[in-house]
Amino acid sequence: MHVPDGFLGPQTYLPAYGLAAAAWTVGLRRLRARLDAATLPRLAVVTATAFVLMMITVPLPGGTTVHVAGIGMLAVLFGVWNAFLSLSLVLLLQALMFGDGGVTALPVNALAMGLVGSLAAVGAHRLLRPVNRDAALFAAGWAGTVASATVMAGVLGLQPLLSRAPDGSPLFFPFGWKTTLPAVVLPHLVVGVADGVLALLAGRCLAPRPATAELPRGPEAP
Amino acid sequence: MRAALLPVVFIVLMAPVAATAHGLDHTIAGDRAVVVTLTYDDGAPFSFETCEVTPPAADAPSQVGRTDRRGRVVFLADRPGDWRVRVVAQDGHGADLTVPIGADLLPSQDHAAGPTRPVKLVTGVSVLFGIFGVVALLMSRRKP
Repeated sequence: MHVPDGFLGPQTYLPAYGLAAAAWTVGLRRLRARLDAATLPRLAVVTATAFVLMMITVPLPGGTTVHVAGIGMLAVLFGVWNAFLSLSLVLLLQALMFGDGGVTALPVNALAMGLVGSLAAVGAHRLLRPVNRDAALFAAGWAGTVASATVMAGVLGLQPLLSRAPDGSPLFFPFGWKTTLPAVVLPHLVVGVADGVLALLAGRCLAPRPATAELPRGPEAP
Repeated sequence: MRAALLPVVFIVLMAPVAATAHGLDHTIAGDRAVVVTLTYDDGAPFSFETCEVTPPAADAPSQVGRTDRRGRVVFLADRPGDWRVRVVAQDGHGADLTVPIGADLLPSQDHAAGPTRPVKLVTGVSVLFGIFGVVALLMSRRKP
């Protein structure tokens, strides 16, 4: 799901950079105001985990490869904005150091995976949490992956409409929505299951435990 | 008179005309080609995906097609300069590469694959923890 350089036209990545810059500013302000010393190491570990998970690709029939991204895991544990910043940092690192995902495509990758994915994950979690806690965690992981894949497919499929050479051939990504939506979204319906399980495990095992002072005291408590 | 025209008509009908001919000549020769090999991170070949090869300063590609079974794009450069090789899969995977071609019409230098996945993992995790360490340091200075 990391779009490389050369696939998105300036009509796409320039506005995306503006939008992402605004979102990064908001996220950094909130992070600065709310991040505490107890949360920071957990955020570091889970961000590094997301980075590692993104590097582990699984081949699918048809020749493509997919990977989990940990969007739901980050969003459920740390909220939309922290997840957005963490995933943006991972994507920046991958683009600059390893060429995985383009620098021009960075804002689209960050907005699709980091912001839209996190919003979908937190939305699904809040919707289902009153019904069942585990189902809500699983749905968060699944929805985060599928939502970001859908946005990515939409942006890629838009390119032939936005930029064409004088002879009519697409200048950037050549395939339209009829191709990108099934090609990108369908594999991520499956990957979403793995991301759902990941969010479920992370939510059950890594969520901060309530402080002792907040625990209900039984009659035997001193 | 008719008898005199017959040879002329015969010659006109039988004369080879290039525009309507369907013959196809061919030659076979060994040559030194530029080979760009594309693989996924796990080493799986980027097989049978759309590719374009565009010469330096050209508006349109000189070659379009698909990568082969082993994920290779093979082309013969006919001029030095920066050639563009673009490979695109329907699911958004792909690359837009610049291949510098020297005066001998071969790549100016062999391009080795990037760092291996274990190297990427260790490097990336180290850099991430380093960044978070700096943030922790800044936080500790802000809140004594």
